[in-house]
Amino acid sequence: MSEIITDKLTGKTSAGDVTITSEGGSATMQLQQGVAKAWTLDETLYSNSVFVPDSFNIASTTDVSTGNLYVTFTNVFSANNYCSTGSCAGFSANDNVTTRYSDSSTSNDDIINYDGAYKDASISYVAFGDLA
Amino acid sequence: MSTLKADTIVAADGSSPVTLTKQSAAKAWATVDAYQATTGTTSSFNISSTTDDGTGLWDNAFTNSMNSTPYSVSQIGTGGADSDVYVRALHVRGTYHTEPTPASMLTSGVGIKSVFAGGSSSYSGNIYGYAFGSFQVYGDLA
Repeated sequence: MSEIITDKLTGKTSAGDVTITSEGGSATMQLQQGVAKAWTLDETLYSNSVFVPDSFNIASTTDVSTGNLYVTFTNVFSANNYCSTGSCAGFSANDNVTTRYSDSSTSNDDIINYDGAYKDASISYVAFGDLA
Repeated sequence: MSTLKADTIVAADGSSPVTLTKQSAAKAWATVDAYQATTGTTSSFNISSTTDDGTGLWDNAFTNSMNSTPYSVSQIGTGGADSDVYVRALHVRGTYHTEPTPASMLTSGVGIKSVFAGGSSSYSGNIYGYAFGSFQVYGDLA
């Protein structure tokens, strides 16, 4: 197996566009599009001693209110249409983590956890899209 | 710091996929907008079309198909632009028209449904449209 050891990959024609081949060999995809641009396992709302919080491209998190977490990105997105998902270590089978689209921006995402009432919990979150 | 400049990276045999050491890239993702009058995606990757399949139901076709089923889908609903009591969850439908079981998933696309998860509404627990939703797909492409 050959191996390239380098610190940085840059597209030759377009700096932000490097193409890779699919596992089955019949398709290609843009490497940058498949890479998560931000993620966190966050315990700002509720500290769970089992988890060790960690994050990528998250500058800060804010406890807005019960069940409401605000995340601020270090490097912002180019537009407010990025794709984010999440889940929580909740306390009931009815916990639902959602985002509040109207309060999200290129630099922040507004996350809520709800099971009939707003509940604090450890939040796992990830976002895809184009960075600025 | 060394920088490698290239437009395409493949394995040494010239065709196989290159290994991303201990990492895996998402193979598709989208933010579906059913809150507006016209259903569609506000942004996406490897999604050729999003079709309204009924209230709160969306069919998302892949541009490049997955290699096999099952594959991994994570998803989330959003509260849209209205009051925050309108919390909506997003669920995966295995195929466009059935509930999820691994055997019934399609390599060509994934179905998503929106459920009204809470708030002071009689809709609670029911399939509900007019929501934003995001999902991501992981696995092997064909």
